[in-house]
Amino acid sequence: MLQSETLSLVRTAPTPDVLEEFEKQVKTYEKAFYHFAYRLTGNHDDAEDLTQEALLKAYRAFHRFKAGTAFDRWVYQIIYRLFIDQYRKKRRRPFVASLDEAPPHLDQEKPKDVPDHSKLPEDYALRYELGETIQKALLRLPEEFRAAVVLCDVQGFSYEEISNILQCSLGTVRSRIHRGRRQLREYLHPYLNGERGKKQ
Amino acid sequence: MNCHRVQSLLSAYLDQELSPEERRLIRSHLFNCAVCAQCFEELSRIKKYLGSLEPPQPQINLVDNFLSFKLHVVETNPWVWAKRLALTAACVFLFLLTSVYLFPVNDPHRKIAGHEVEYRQFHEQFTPYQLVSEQSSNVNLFLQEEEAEEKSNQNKKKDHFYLSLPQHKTLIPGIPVSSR
Ligand SMILES: [Zn+2]
Repeated sequence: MLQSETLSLVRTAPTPDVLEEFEKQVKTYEKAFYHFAYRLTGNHDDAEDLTQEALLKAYRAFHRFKAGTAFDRWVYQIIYRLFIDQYRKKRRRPFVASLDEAPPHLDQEKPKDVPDHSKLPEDYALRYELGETIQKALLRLPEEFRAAVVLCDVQGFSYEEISNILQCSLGTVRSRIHRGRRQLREYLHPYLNGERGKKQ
Repeated sequence: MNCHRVQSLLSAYLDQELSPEERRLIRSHLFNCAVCAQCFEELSRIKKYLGSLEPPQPQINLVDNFLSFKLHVVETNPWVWAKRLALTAACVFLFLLTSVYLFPVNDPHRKIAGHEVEYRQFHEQFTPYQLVSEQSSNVNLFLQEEEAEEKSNQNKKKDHFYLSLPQHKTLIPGIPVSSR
């Protein structure tokens, strides 16, 4: 009796080949998943937590994953949903009501965005500065816009794939990307008008 | 197409997500309108910047960390509980076993009178009265058991008798034989 009970408990644990398959899939995409999580959260701690949580969730639901469908898109979807559910609660800044308008403090921050790096090696300084500035600008976007823009421009997905991941219509994807980029254009204005980053 | 309409489609144009007809219209507009061309230039630069962002390096090994975490979870769930269950059952079993040996209430030796001497040798602490009364009750029990066994044997014989009878095909009333 005892033996059969133990066996039935063991049977609920995943079989080794499922585990192996999952590991294989994760290893293929882990860097891209982490990059997505990092662009969404803007820091390593949250990005690591988000990726780990998403992987665990994916692992637990792996039996529901249909073989032959895109594993990466499925995990991106989990990351995005977790992010929307959990990480937006941690946001320090309140949600910007008017999406097309920059937050009111933006103008005061503008001079800080263009520090003088003339004494540093120009290329590296610019690259680093630009990376930092772009991430800061991304974090100012509403989460939905940020996710759409990152999936399109960083991850390189098509609108249809993005609509799949974000579970919204093609029209919504198009509008989110367009509005997200327009906001980024305002935030990154100094870099786009040749004041900085001309060498890029 | 006016400038407003063109600018609303510039992102999709940049991502090549427009129909050929829309693409053609926008291309010709950009050729003639410096404002929209400038806007397009800026948007494409943003796309280029985002695409050239360095992938960040995680500070921990994600896969290994996940695997160890997951294995830990798997271990703490069914396995530990199975082990605990087995351990508890073993303890209960041991307890019952030792209690039977230490306090042999239903010692089979006492059932049969022939084992009386052996019994006395091992259980001196019992008074003769206790022993006799217990033995007599045990003998009664023994007889009852014998009776029960005999009865069941008779029943078995009866069952055997009935079961070994040839199975007659009984006709179902109301249905003529020819139709079956
Ligand atoms: Zn125009």
